[in-house]
Amino acid sequence: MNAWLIAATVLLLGLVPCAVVILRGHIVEALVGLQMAGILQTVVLLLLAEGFHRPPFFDLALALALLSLAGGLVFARMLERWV
Amino acid sequence: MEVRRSGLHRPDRVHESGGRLVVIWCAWWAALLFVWFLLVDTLRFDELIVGSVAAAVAAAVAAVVHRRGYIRFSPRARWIRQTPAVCRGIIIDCGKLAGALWRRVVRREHVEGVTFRVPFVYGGENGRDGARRALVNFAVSITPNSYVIDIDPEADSLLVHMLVPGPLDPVLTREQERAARAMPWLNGGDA
Amino acid sequence: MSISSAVVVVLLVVGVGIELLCCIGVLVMKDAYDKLHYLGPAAIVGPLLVACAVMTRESLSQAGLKALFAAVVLAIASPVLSHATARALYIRQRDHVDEPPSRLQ
Repeated sequence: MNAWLIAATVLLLGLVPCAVVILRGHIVEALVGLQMAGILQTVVLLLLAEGFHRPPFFDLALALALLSLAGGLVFARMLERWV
Repeated sequence: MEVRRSGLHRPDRVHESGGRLVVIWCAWWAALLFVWFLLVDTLRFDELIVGSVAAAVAAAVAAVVHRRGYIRFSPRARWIRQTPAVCRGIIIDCGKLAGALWRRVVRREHVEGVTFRVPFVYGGENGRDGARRALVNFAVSITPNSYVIDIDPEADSLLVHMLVPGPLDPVLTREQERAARAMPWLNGGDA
Repeated sequence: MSISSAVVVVLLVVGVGIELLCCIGVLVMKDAYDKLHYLGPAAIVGPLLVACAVMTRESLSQAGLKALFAAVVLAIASPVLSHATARALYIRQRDHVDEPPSRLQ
């Protein structure tokens, strides 16, 4: 166990408030919770990549950051009128 | 529930010369190839070939999108001088949000943001005005205490939400002054 | 503990702390308009501090550059997503899909 893995574990606790917002909030509040969860997971992947000394995890974090942007925009567009 | 069409329309084609399109393609190709080598971290010949082909395909798509007129973005170089002020605004606004969170969680006070309209010259459907709208929106929204909800072309205004009410940031102040010069009737002057 | 290790620990503590505080902000703030503000520091400051910690450890290697690149992508995406989400809520309220709050102009 090193500082990076401890930080990643602690950061996973941040998913609890995100889950509460997603499950209990209005649909747009749920999107905000989802976006926050995406940011948290990108940072968790960065921490795990360094903690486990696995360079491919950095590619995962980068891919998640880009796909979170695209996915968030698609959800926002759909929520304007169609959901 | 009635389903409404999104109202998307095809923009007018951009009449670029062949030479300019080649320049656009080359610029995209060079930038994407640079990003490729940054990510693969090697200068081997086979990576050069694969990266060149991938960058060429992506650059072609970018050039086609540009020619279709979907992206009209021609910023002025001098706008980059606003970057230090925006970075300062990010740090200051993080402090404001921390204060708001403290008031909400520890002191159990009611914290509620405000929404207001800022006069804003919408401009036309050209690259310069499009870039100005996009970068003003980006600069206002990247500072955590405020973001742009909507840009109204008919009312020439920005709808902005601010969590901790306070003075406008420099970007909004500048756009408000520009609107006052361009639309003096807003301040009671003659049209 | 070396100086660079101490710097890494400080950057990680502050970065993770900011992320968790922003999660609390998203939870406790009143409505979506107010919650959206806390995506900003979470996407800009937190990942940048973590990327700096990675670069302190790895310097300008592939790992450090990719971490920085991911942090930059998050920072650029944050205002775009905030605007798009707020606009979606505004359109829903304007078109009476949802009830608008009395304070919305």
